[in-house]
Amino acid sequence: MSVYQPENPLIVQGDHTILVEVDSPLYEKARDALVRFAELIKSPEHMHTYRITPLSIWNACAAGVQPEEIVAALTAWSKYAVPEHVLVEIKDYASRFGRLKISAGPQGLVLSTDDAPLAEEISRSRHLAPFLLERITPLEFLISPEVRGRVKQALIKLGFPAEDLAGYTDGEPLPFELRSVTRSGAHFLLREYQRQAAAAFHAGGTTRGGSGVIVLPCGAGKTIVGMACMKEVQSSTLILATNVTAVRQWMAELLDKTTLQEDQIGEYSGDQKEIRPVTVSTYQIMTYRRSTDDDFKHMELFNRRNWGLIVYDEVHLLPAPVFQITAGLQARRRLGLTATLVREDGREDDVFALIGPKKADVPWKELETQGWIATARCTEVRIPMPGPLRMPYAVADSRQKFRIASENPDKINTIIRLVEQHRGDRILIIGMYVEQINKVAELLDIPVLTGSTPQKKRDRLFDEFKSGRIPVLAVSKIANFSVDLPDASVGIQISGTFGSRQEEAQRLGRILRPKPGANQAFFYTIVSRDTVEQEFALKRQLFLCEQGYEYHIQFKEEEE
Amino acid sequence: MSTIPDIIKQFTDQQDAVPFSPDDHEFPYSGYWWKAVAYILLSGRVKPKSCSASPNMTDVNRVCKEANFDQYFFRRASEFLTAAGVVKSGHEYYEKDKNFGVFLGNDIAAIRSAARNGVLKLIEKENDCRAWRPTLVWNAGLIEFLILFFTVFEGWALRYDKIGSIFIKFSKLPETSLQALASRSGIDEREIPFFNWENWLDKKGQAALLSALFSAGWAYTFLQNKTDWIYLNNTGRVMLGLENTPSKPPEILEFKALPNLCVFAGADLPAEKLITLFRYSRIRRIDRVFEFQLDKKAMNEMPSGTSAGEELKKALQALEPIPQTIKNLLEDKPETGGILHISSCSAVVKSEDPAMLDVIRKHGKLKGYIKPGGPPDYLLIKSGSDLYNFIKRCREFGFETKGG
Repeated sequence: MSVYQPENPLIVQGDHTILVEVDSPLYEKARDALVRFAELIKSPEHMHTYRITPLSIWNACAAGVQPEEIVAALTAWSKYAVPEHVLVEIKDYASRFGRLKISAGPQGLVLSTDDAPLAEEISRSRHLAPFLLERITPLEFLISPEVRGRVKQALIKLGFPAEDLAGYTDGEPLPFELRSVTRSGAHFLLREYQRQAAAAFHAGGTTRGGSGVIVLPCGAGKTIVGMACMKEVQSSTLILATNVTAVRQWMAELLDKTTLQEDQIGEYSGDQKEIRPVTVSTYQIMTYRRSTDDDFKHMELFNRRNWGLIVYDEVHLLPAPVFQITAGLQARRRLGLTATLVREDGREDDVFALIGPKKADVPWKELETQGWIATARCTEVRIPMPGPLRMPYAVADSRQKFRIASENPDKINTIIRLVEQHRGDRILIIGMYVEQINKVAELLDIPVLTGSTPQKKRDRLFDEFKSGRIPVLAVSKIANFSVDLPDASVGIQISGTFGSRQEEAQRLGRILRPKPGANQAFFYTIVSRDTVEQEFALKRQLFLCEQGYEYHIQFKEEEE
Repeated sequence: MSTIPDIIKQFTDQQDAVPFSPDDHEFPYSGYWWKAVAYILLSGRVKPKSCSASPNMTDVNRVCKEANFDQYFFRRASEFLTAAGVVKSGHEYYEKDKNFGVFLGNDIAAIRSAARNGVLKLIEKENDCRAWRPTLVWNAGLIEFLILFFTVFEGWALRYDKIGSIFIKFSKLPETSLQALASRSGIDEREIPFFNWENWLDKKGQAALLSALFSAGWAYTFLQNKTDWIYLNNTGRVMLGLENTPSKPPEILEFKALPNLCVFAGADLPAEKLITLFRYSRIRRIDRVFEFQLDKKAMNEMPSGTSAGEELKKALQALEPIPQTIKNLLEDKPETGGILHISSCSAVVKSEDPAMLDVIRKHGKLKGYIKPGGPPDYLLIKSGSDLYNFIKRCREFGFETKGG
């Protein structure tokens, strides 16, 4: 087959990578089709590289994308004929999704398939065999409810993700509604994409719904989608968030936008240990233990009440011990919320197996076009390393190199210039190193917020920032997640956690809440030129590039 | 057209076979993998063994590991390309041979002739010095044997473990029937030395023939019901004249140099450009668009007549303006510059606790050994100082010392 469509931007390679010509006029359309089933690997200027993986295909299938649509999209946007074997393998990956089902039978949980060779393969797999109690029929196996999660994990590693149709325990009923006018007096209505996401999660209350991950950009209202899902389930709910600030924001939002009363919402944190029909806690307290030999005593919270739904906020950060306990909680409904399904530890398959497949994913740029999130201009400012630091940088090991480059003292001049340039805007200066953040705060005479700032002071500073009394706030990485600062419109990133893509996205997310007027946000990353920091910055930007963001490069010389 | 003689039909019906129709429709040898092997050989990164035209497997393994490419395919393909006169082993490196242009071109008759010769040469190579073979391989009629054999098994795959015996049985079928089959296939039966086939199809000959078919990319195998089956693919069919030649696919001429020092180059770009890129860059991907990563170390690994940077600049000329990062890399001047002040010292001291360096610097009994200046976090011992005395004194004052 020698189809040649020279105007198209995709080149599908035989090893499942896809090259995308960014300069093509058809790039955006092709990219929008591609991100539904492929992952971005590299995104330098001019040519981006995506890859199709089994997990990317299964997530697409779970989100309702048919293999025929994937094949059609590749064929439609490809410059040369798509290699035949790639199309065959896409169909093969897709056909694996749902070939195994877990359902509830009279004897207990049943793992079944309609494919005899697959049943044989399962029965002989040394990873699965310990979980199979009995072979009821040639195509059905009895499994213990306790190992439901472990079975799903093992199956995904085997390459056959199971569709879990075994249903859920109902949990304690908790009737409540979303308000049409919030307690604070504002009109409140779910946006269409929020409503659709909640509906996709709930799936009309059938066993096809009830567990999964909703991927929405920061600022697009993940908390609201979470509340909408809770309203669909109408059952007691445990919410796990990243930090106490986020816990309190959840509680405030629940009170403001639902008919739940104060005595129905509890905080389970280091400060308070309330267990109420809706309990909001942190990953940190759940994974707390005195020493490595001790048990995680707060994990009991998962069983202290008959939860009907567990919400995992920022699911990409789910710590390993919570994964383990989640494997035993497969009979409860589970909702994961995140802006980036990317996990830096590569455990996306565990999220898929234990929380559930992706149920909704709205491209960032789509929401930007609709005005639901601010339009962001991303700029990478490259500044040279000062002369005296070049030698220590040259002789340092790679980890030290990154730190020396990140703490480049010349960054302060650029920060001052940017703060001056955006006078009148609400500005967040975000860094990774506390010393550096403190130094910047001292030089600019602005308040600083780090991990050691007491919660009360944090709340006060956030309130003052929101009200505009403090226009510029320096924050460490504690503000990466779940901190609602709706009026921040400028983010200046002065250092970050190596090549963390999710951190980059989360930090941008801090300034994406819709703004009155021009609805414009500015995100600056200051990096030391020709250093490892610049290389890591490129990696950090991958996810946002996948979402259609473009980084403008500015050199120090151009500033002057 | 006359039918296949009954006796041959009966013979084919008796063999273990499964229906199979090849689905590859590539123009013969237009695949990027053939070009990649040829260009890597010509790039000099894989040298021929001193005693034969076979590639040095240490080189092959190194390059294939870098490019995530199948080293077994590479070895077979390079043996075929050498046999077919596409490349030849020179004194130290591979060089282009007389059929290099043919291999890259569209002239199917010339490609066919080169490939058939390559197959025969490979068979001969594996049957060296077999005195009992009465003819040279060139006169054995083996290509005609293959044409007739695969004519009768068109649409079938044969048991791989039985194919050798099927070859020999087929060669022993009555000559009249084979002549009729040849005539049906448009071959002048008078030119086929049927009597010679048997001599070339003993165990050794069968293995050589099969090996040549695989090396030339004419035959593939697949697994079905726990049995391996072999079939003649479309390249083989076209080369034997059993199939019409498919049209040549559109040329892949993408060519992009990115600021991250990555170069994407379509497999159909001019050979010289690609050979240069294979020679002086890291190979990241071998596919329809090759992916190269430029880096100084790779540039310095291969000797150059002029300079690696100049050669790469020439290869990338069409991409002007090339990104500044690449320009910087290809500049011949060193990456750093300025005046270097060089002085000698006896040793360099590093402490696990940097604060201790200051203690030593100020210590009444130790400071005399220390040279002023030096990089941060290090101490330099004066070149005239006795290092062993310094170490001894350090130990006396409670420092543990380790050599490095």
